[in-house]
Amino acid sequence: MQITDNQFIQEPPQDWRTYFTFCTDHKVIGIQYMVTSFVLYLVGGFLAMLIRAELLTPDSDVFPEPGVYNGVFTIHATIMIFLWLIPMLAGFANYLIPLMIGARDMAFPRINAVAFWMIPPAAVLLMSSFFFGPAQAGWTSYPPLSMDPATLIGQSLWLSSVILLGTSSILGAINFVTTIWEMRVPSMGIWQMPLFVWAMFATSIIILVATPVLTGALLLLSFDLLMGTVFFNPTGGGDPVLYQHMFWFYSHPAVYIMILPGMGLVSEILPVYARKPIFGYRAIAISSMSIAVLGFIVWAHHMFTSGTPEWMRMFFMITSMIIAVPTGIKVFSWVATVWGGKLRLTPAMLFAMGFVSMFVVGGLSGVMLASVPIDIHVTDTYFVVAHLHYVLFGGSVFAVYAGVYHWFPKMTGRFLNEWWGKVHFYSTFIGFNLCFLPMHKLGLLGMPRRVAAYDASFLDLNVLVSTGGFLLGVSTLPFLGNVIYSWLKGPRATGNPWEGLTLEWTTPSPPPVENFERLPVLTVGPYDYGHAGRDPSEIVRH
Amino acid sequence: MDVGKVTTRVVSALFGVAIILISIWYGGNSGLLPVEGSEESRMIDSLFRTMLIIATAIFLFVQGLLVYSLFKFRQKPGDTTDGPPIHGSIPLEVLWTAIPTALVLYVSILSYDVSGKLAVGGSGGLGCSVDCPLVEQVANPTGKELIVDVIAQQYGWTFQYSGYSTEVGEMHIPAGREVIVNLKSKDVLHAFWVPAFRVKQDIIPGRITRLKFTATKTGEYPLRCAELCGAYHGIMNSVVYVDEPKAFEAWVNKELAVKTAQVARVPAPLALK
Repeated sequence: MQITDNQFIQEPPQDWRTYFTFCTDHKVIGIQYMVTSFVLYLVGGFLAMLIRAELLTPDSDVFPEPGVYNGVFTIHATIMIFLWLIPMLAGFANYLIPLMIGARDMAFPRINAVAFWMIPPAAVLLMSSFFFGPAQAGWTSYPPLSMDPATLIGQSLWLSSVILLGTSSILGAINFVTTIWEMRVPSMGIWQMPLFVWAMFATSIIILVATPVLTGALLLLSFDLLMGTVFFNPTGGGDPVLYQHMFWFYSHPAVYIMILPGMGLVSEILPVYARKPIFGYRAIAISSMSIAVLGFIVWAHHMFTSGTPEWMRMFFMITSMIIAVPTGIKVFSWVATVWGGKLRLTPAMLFAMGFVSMFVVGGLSGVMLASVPIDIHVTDTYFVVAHLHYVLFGGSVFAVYAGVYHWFPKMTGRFLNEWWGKVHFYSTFIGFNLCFLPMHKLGLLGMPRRVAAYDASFLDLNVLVSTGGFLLGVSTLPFLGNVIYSWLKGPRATGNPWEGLTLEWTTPSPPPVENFERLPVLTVGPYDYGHAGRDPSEIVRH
Repeated sequence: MDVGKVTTRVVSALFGVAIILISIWYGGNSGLLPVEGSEESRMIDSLFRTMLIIATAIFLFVQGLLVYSLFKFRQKPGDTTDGPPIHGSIPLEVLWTAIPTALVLYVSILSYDVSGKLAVGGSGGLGCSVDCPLVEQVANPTGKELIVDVIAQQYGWTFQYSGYSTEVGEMHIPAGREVIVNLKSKDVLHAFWVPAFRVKQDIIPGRITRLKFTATKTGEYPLRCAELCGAYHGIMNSVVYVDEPKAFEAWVNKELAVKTAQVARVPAPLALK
């Protein structure tokens, strides 16, 4: 059906009950994703608090059974990856992509809703495993430990939940690729696409290529677990290392599934508040695509101590190091975007600059981990825990917060409180660094990860880490309060409160059901700040 | 020439020099590494220090630019105009592609070099079963090494010395002699890690993996399991005793030669409160 300009413009949904239905509006689905994943983030964060409580003392003394501790960190990681970051960023993509490219909805609205509605049952499956003894083999679920009959039910629930979430992710990715490729307004060529759209295009391709391999690995593991096959079971001649290869073939690219959209969000936000064009637009877009491609030939750097032969270690070391080049291009481009601008230090801008600052640390420790001799010492230690949190919290979560502060007025038609936003930023920034910076030293000094008990010599640093962790937990509260209050009672926002140039700012806040009264026609690029006549209304030529 | 411009350049140059000096100092004095107990640890630590110097310099450079921008380029009150419409700069972009490329190639070559010297590599090969000849080939024993079989089991370690049938619950090795450990697991994945030696290797049920190292200093060094192996993973620890060669001989004669028949029990996991 051809959607025409004079189609009836419906008001955005006013009834909160719409958000609990099988609605095919991409904006409703986007918010469904975000709110659901944020609730699960609070659950995952609570589990992190339990982990830090356990590690306040060298002895294993908080949980009645040490196996429960292993269950807690397993579910913590699974939630944070599969039920928080991936769906949260899919929520942003759902909300923003059609608005940014001037489309009225996603290419497949019903598949879109199906993809979202697979998440709540998957979450319930995963949580319910706490009643049966949760999976305890870590989010990596390496066999043979994951085939322990004692955790059979929990592990089966974990497997079914993650397979379901992978399927949801694939459905979402098909939708994003098709929407981006087919539904841009005619005046938008690929080099006029906003960088978040580029990032989601790269991300969706990764999801489409990598996720089926994870599903395959998990299905084979289910067969071993439930039907007595021996794909990975050494007692029957199977190979546990094969599982690791299949697992990391997905799970390393999965890091890019979680960080590329974050990089995209930051590339949108920095120019708006720096009042300058993004520096090196094409270089950033090409970097996203090259990370997506290179990301498929680095997976075995997670397996340098898994009996991987020397030639293979060297190959994967060099490919992993090369990833630093496109990543570095992005970081320097962001710094150059900020440099010489007229910075409006809103909470969104603070979180976006915090993202650049923290992501650099994760990137640098990442290069160290790529080096085989150093990785051999620090793999499976707290150094890795520090690294991954600098990338996924200091990186992705900071980007998510920046995105929420930036697009909240667009999504709800109301402003967040800026003062509380700054309280949120500073407490998060301090808590985060107190929590994760000392972990580098713990790992280098010899503390393995995934332990409930540790050597007494690590006590002081662990107390510091836990203190930072609790502060980080508390820092979520001003955000939560701010969002709930502002959504109900915050001051009203106009269509383009931040004077942005991308297309979502040309429509009212919140946008009508069909997004645009008339489909926009591009007259300026997405980042043409600083030019005369930059009035956003001039973007649209009626 | 404009005085202001000259001043800016001098100040930037001074900051650059300061960043380099601080990075070099921090690389050598970070205090991030435990005691060096093996020949391998010296090479690995020197590589680590080099990478830490580079990482510190990049860290300070980027954070410095961001913090400077935060103060210098903050929007002035009442100024609602935009910044300059700069979309990019080909020379700058080439520069920040070329420098990181050169740096990662440099650290790759360094790492490759150290990795080759360590000879810890190739431990096990792909799909190698218990009696795999590949394992022997890869480690290339010369006959002078001390060969120890390490058996990992939830949640303890036992050691069997080549030439002796006794399994013991402690690991003693002589300082200055190359040691090859054959790693075997009776149940799930474990990993053999002696932080002071900087060597680590997963222990994979169904195959033998290997590590080579030479301890340099006498003392007691913790041995930790580094791969999640179950509920008591955190207490699957032991100690490696590095003895003077003579003391080691005495220990062998006392503990291994005498107790030929008695097999040491796997230490039971410590009861947790």
